[in-house]
Amino acid sequence: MAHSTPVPTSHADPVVQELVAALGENSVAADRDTLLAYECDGLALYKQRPRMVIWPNSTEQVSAAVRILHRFGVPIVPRGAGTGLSGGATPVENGALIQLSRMKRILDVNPTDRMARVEMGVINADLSAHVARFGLAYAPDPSSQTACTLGGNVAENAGGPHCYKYGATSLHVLSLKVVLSNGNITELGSPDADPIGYDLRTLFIGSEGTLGIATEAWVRLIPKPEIVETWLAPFASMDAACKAVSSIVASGIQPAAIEILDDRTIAAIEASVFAAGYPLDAAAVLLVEVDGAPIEVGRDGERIRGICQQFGALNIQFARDEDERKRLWKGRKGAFGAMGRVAPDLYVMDCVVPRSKLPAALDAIREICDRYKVRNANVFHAGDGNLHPNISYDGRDADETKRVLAAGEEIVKMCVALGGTLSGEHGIGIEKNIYMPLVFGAGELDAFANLRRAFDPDGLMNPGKVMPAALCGEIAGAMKR
Amino acid sequence: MKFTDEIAEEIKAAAGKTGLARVTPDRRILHAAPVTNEGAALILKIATRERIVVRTRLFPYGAEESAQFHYRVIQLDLSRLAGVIEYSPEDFTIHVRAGTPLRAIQEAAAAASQWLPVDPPADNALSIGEVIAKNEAGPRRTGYGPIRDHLLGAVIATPNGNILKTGGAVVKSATGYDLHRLQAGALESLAVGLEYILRLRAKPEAAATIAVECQDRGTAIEKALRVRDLIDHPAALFIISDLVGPTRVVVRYEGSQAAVDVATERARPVLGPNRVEPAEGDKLLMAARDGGLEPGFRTPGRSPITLRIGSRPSRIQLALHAVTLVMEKVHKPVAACIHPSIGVADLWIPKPENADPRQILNEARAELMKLGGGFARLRRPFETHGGEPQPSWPDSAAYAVMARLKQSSDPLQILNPGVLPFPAPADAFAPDVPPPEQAPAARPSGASAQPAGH
Repeated sequence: MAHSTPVPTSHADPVVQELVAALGENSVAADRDTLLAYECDGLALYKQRPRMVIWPNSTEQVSAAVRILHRFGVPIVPRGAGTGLSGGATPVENGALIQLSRMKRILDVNPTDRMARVEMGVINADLSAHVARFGLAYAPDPSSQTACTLGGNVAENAGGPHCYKYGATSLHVLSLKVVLSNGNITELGSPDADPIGYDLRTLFIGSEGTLGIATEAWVRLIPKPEIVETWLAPFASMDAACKAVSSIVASGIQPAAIEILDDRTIAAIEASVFAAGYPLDAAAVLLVEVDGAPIEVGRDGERIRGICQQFGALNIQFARDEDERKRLWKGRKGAFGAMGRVAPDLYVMDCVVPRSKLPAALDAIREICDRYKVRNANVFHAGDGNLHPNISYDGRDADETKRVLAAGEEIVKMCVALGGTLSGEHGIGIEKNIYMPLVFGAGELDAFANLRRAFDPDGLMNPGKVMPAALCGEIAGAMKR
Repeated sequence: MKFTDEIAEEIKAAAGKTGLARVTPDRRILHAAPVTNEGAALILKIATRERIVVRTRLFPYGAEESAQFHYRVIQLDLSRLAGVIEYSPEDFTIHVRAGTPLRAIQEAAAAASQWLPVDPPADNALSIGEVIAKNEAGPRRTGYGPIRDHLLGAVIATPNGNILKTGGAVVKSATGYDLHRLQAGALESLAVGLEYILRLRAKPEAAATIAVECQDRGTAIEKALRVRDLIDHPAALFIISDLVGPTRVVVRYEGSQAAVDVATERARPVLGPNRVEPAEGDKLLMAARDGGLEPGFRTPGRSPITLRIGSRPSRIQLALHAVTLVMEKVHKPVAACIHPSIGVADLWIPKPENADPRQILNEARAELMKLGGGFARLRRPFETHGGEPQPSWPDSAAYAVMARLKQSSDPLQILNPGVLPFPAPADAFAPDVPPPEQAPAARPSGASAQPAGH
């Protein structure tokens, strides 16, 4: 049973003492200076200093640490690289942060079965680089892929531009080794086909660290495509760009990626180190990539160009080689970083609408942000209807911060009203848990709570995340009773 | 204890005026076919209140078998909850009721040159609810994945009568827990699916099938994996090794005409110039899809025993060999349909009199364990569980989580008991189970297997 303990600040903490004894001095920290660096993840709007940070280097060490924390009733927050944007890895009061960055070994690559066994601290891009020698790749490619870890990807069911064709993380993870909240180690799913029982693997992926700590996984690898073609089509209006996307999708072509960046994003990129030669006079650019066999890629590329021209695209750029392709992607991948020039802080939102509602949603986002007098720029996965409205602001300005949050709330509600949902790939975390009742009723939230309890009867795993805070309190109360 | 007039009337009212609620003459089975979601949910609520077992119409193991073990059984038929609720071609999504036949979904989508790229057995006659409950798939699983991968959202009814909605009509979501995907393969043992939202794909403009005969299964698997390693991704890749023809490797490419032609040409060094006529290609696909329903096994009293093996490409040949030896002890030859690139195979034999499918299953599982892993399950006859330990249950902690999920969703275990191996509730005679001295056979969900800690 979970119970609370006073908040100590140093090694006088008996929990820290036990953790140090079990894992070693170099694997635990509870000093103020170290803890300061872990107060938030990529969502800087909310901060909370953890009670301690733990760096295990194996599943067994994770298990040992969790057993101790469970015994003392200390809440547990797993953390990868801290690049998450919904506060999933924000510490909880008096809680421990388990940092998986030391678990970064690629344990096995099996080209015959096209799978790899990896620890969860492996950086996303490092896996693809490692398996490239076998002609294989790991498909999910979130924008933070050079920094984010596979564990974080599992927690958020991360996507990325190429998940339009290849699917998000849940389609690429075959099994997970998981430490449950009492320290037990279990395997969800299997590298062998058709495991017996409920599909807990799918349930776990995207559960934001609330069901346990994934420490290892067997992941699926895909053959690298034979050729890739990348196009950048500028448009005079956002509406035309969205219509071109709808037409491309309706034509039956399945691009590998289909992204839109608006004029404000383009301006930020072109003024930054991520400058990619995007046209500054365009209202929007469409970045499209097709991959596969040469004959099909060539044909699809021609059709896409024709559709873009039909909707008024001018001066379409075609990446003639890998360097040009990297240049075109540099702007897209660096878009969030580029916005750092606009203001000290950036609120990266993540909502989804049915693709056909993209133009209406974008109009509404502009209107809302103008009304709240906040600086908005948009970059999004157009094929999936997955919007990333970005709001630049200065966190030191309390009034502006308040307006940013208010605008964000309206944007979320607008997307839900259009038939969309709260998050496409960043997760709910603490950013949007208060909005959960917008899309789920009491029955659904109760079912979620039951589900969570089935994994974590004591409510120690990442409490306060995903579920609305009030309900979390009720759940915790019910558990204690 | 039998269905009283009061309860029968209450269920009849829940089924609706145009619905169906009929009690068998012995008053032990009540067939109910509600016409609304609310009616279906209310029937579940009544069943929970009265501790009556509910069988959804998914399985050969249905109400009649269940009635051997329980005083009363509601046979819940969702076939009247059918039809397309909303189809959005521009978003490639379709929202349908659970009783909608797969065929009807394909017909609706075809109007916009779209389709749901799954091909489970039984010629599209299955309802989408059945396909999802079983996470059923056919040979196109190699190219497009199982139905779970196409599921965006669901409306489900829980045994306590709640109607829950999860997911939605967006193709990407990281909002809350994936309750809808949890239903895929759960055999309606947690909740009953009422509606589903599915992602559609553009229908490929062309297809080509290549089939080549091989001397034996080993050669066929080796050839198939060479085809898998070519750059072109097949829609289906399987080996048919049945009783009526030679062992054949079959590969199916789907896509644009140009891509299909190129893929076929690239497969030529491995498979030769063996592109078959479209009708023959469809026939081969159908044979793989309906593995275990081969005409030779359809004679009365000779229903097949079909075992599904789940392994991985590098081990499928060894797994196949080991399980074939087990089945050959009962009947020779053993027919097979193998999907080597995803590590799956169906093996089947005609069921000899007195053969015990569970014994074959257990022996197969033991052989796979010796090989280092893999799964086996009975597809026909449908596998049901008593209280016996599950020899291939991989992990006690995962089992405990599953058991708690079942317990929280369906505490009295009224919903399709016995389809997955979970312990019975603490009250050994719930739901509505006759005491042991009256029971004609072992209870379908036993009390002996306890979770081994969470």
